[in-house]
Amino acid sequence: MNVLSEVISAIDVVVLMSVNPGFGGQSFIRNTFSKTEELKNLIIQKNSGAKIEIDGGVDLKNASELVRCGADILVAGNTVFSSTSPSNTIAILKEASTQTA
Amino acid sequence: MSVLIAPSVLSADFGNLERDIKMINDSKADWFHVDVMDGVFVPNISFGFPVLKAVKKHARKPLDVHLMIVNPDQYLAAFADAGASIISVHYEACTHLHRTIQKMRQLGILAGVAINPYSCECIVRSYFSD
Repeated sequence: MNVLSEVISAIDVVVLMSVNPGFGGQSFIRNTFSKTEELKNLIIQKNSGAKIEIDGGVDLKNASELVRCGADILVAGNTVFSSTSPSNTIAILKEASTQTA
Repeated sequence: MSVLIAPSVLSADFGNLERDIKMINDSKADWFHVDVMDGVFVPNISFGFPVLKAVKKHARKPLDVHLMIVNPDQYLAAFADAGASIISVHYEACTHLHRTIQKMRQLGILAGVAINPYSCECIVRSYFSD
């Protein structure tokens, strides 16, 4: 049984790139919303415990929508470090999940 | 479950890296996201082991290392040794992705697979089961 569960959870995290990788500070690609939803459905269908991480252009405007689509982990670079209060921005992003509940 | 927030060290002030790491330690962030770029898989070079080790020295939260590099298998053990808790390799950079995932699991780290914005998320379907 342990072997089976290890196989099912072969991937722990799927990172959906929401910008072309290589640089910080790029604009979010909006097809990520539907990709996140489709990946979430696939994970549920496969009974996998994999988490969905979104990387690229995550900001205060798209964060809660991403969580609603099924995101479990949000990467934030410029949004955090270009803000006047990085720790406050992190706290606001963290709240994104509860706003969708 | 509450969403996890992973601030990217790539956007930190490298002249004040310790200050920015401490800010993340003291914030509601969950992970440190660490972008490693090799100038081959992506048209940019970020940083490698010396910087990762410096981050690890001060970080009190898991390091989520995103490898934007070709041939990641060659470096998985070294990144695990350097303190990575989660390593993500790119689907587009792995010829034998299943072997790469197995190797990550053997190293006892969480296995991540990153997918470019215009690659189909469906490619991971077959990796959710054997």
